[in-house]
Amino acid sequence: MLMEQQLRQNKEGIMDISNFINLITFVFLVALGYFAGTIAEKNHYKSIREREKKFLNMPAVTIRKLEDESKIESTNFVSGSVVVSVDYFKRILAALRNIMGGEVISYETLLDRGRREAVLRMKESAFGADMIVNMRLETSTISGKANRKAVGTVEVIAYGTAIKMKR
Amino acid sequence: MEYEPKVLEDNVNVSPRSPIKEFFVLIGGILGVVLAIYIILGVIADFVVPRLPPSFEAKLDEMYFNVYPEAKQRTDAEIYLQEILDRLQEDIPSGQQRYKVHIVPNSKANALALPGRNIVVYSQLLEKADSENEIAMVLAHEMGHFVNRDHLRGLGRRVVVLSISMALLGNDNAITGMLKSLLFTAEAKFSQKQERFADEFALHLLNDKYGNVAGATDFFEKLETERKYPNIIFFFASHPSYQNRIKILENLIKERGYKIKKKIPIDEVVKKMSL
Repeated sequence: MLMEQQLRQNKEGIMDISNFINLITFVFLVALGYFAGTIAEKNHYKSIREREKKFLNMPAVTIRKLEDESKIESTNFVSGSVVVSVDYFKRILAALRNIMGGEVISYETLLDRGRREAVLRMKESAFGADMIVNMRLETSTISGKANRKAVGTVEVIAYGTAIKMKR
Repeated sequence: MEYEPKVLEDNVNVSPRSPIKEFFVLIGGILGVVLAIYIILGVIADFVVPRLPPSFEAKLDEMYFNVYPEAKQRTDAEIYLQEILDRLQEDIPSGQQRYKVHIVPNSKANALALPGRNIVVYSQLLEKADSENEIAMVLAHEMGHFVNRDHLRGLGRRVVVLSISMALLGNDNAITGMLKSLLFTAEAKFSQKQERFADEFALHLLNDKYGNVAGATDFFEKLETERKYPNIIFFFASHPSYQNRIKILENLIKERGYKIKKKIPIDEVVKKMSL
C-alpha cells in the first residue's frame, strides 16, 4: 500500500510534465498534418486535373456491350489501383465527427482523389485503346490495426475492358 | 445532341466547407460539453464533501488508519517529527483521530497527506531542512489538506474525469489522449487552489503554535533554487509555482502582521537517519 502510494505520487510528478508534452505533441501533429496534407492534396488535384484533360477523348463507361461488335478489333482487361491516406488533421476531424455525427467532409476528398486517380491509372494502362467499357470501381479500407475502426487508408481499384476499334 | 466531354471545374463530390473551421467548431463543442459536465460534477463534489458528517470521514479514516504496521519500530527521527506534529495538533479534541507522521526513504523532497490522517514525509525533505519551523510548516500544510478534505474532493474529481473520458470516447481514440491531458490540466487548476488553501492554513497554524512565522517560506525557496523546469510547466502542474507560493505567503505575513523571530534549529536525529 505504502509502496503503491509512493509510486503513484512519483508518477503524478511525471504526469504533469508528460501531460504538457502530450498536448504539445498533439498540437504539433495536427498542425503538421494540416499543412503537409493540404499541400499534398493541392498538388494531387492539380496533377489529376491535368491528366484528366489529357484523357478527355478516351471514354470509360459502365455499358456492358457495344451494339455493333463487328467493329471491335481487340479487347483487353485493364485496371488501375491506388492506395491513399488522410493526414493526421483529417483523421482527428473524422474522429470528432464520429462523436457528433454528420457529413464526414474530411474523407470526401480522400475518396474523390482515390477514385479519380484509379480511373486515370486504368486509362493510362489502356494505352492506344479507343474506349473502356464495363468499368467498375471498388473501394476497400486498409488499416494497420485490425480491430480499430479507424478508416484512414483506402485502396481504390478501377477496372474494365479496353476496346480498340477497327479503322 | 452530341455529348462533348469536358473537365469539370468544381467538384460536386467534395463539400465546399472549410475543414479547419469545422475542426474548431467540433473540438470547441466537444470540449465545451465535457468541461461543463466536469465543472458541474466538480461543483457538486465541492458542495457535498464539506457537508459529509465527521462520522463518515472517521469511517473512511479507519479503513486506512492501520495501513501502516504499528509493529514497525518508530525511528528517532519519526518520534521527533511526531513531537512537532503533536504540538500542531494539540487543539484537536481527544475523541478525534490524531495525525500520524511516517518517514519514507525517497530522493524527492516532498510530503503527502494520505487517507486516515497519515502524513508521509520523504527523507530527502528532511535532508534539506534546516529548522524545526520549516518542518512544522510542511506538516501543517499537509494537515491543511485534511482540514479541507482534499483527499475526498480529489477522489470525487478523479472518478469524474475518468468516467467522462471512458464513457464518451473509449480508449482507442486519439482524442481521448488530448481530452485527458486537457482535463488533467483543468484538474491541476483546482488542485492549485487547494494547495494555496493548505499553505494559508499552515501559515496561520504555525503562527498560532510558534508565535511567529519564521521559516514559513524556507522550503519553497530551496525548491525554487533547485528548479529544473521552466515556470511555464507549472501551468500544467498540480501545484502552483514556488515563486508564486512564496509571494502569496509573504503577502499574507505582511497583511496579518505576523512576526518573524529566530528559528529553532533542527534536531540532529533527522540527519543521522540510516537510509
